[in-house]
Amino acid sequence: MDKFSEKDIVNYVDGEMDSAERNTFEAQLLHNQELQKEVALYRNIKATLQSHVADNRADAQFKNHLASLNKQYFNKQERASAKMRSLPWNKLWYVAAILVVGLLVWAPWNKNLYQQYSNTQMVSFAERGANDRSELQKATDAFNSGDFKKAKEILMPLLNNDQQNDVLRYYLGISQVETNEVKIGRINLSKVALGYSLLKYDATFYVALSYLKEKNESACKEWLHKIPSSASNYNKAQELLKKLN
Amino acid sequence: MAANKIHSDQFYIDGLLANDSRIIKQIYDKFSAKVKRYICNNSGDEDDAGDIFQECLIDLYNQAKYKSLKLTCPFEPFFLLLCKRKWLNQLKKKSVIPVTKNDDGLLNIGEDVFSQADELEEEERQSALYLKMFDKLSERCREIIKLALSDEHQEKIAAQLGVSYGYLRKKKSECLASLIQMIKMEENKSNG
Repeated sequence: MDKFSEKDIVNYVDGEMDSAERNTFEAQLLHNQELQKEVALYRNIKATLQSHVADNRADAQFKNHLASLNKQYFNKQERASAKMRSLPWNKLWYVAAILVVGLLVWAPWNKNLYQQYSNTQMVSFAERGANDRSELQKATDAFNSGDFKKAKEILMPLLNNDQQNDVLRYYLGISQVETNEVKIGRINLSKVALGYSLLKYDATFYVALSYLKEKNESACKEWLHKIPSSASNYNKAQELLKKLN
Repeated sequence: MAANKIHSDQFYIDGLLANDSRIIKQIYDKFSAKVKRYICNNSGDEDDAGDIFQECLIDLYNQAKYKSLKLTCPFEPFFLLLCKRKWLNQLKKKSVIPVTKNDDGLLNIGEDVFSQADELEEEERQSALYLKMFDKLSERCREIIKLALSDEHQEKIAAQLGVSYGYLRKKKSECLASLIQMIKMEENKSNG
């Protein structure tokens, strides 16, 4: 064999050739520059896919670590209030004008779409038994009574012990979005949405809502469009899309 | 080009790679305020600054982990330049008012810093193309590649997908082969 296909290259780099195949391949590789380039190209593509597409536990831990530091070091509230104080009086007309425009865009007399669609009950998957008040049950109760701050506090350590648990991650994500940690909540929700969990499209819907909460309608629509007609919440997504248009 | 010597600031990169709390905290302590100031003074707010800061650290981590990045210049000007460029690119995309494309007056930036930053940007551009092509694969292919390249055991993944291990391997190389073909075609198009 003197011409190798892309499949051979993948098999070689991924260590899936038997020794005879590998020997032939490596003999060619030594002086075939074209082949060397192809191997380098696939190595590069693979590295990109590993870092941007595939799940990796260590990477997720690193990102969570940064997310928590970010919260500590970049705090928006302070900045916003500092800006307000420094506004001179003669600029107040602008502020008034912006408020009016903002009011028209926000249109509170229309029902707030986020609130209208963000009503989710946490389904308890804890078994009700003698010691009924398991942590999970407490989280469920807090979530369903709207105490997202408490739900978050209980869910966080549970998820830390069980990082692959998409159900915990989904409800934690929602609790974070509800308690104004929209960005971090969205990281958790998108992780579920991009994975292969049963809650994939529920999470997709919530990612969309998290953008809606930030008034980013185009991102919201983009995520709603990801929900296929086979998903159980397809109609709900379409309905919301219509309202946004 | 002569083999570049690794800069002693490589320990920052190693710290990111090892998810070392002490070093990462040091990075935040030393540089977050500077990035914040720059972005808040250039049509951004603190949230934007936080996002850019985090994204750049993740870029560095990915480069170090998957493309064995070695630092050949001092970390501080390099990292600040990356943050600034990323922010400028974002402003360009949002087509906000043009910003002074002055890479920086305050810092004394050497050639080595620029060339390493350029290299990294080029890598990011390539990655963006690969990912764009990846998105064009069938859903099944994307699913298989995503799982096959994760750090999970391949046998377990096969079971999760409800296929045999042999089938998973065969399908994985098929999917990746068609991805490579698509990428080559796209690269020829832009070169030719």
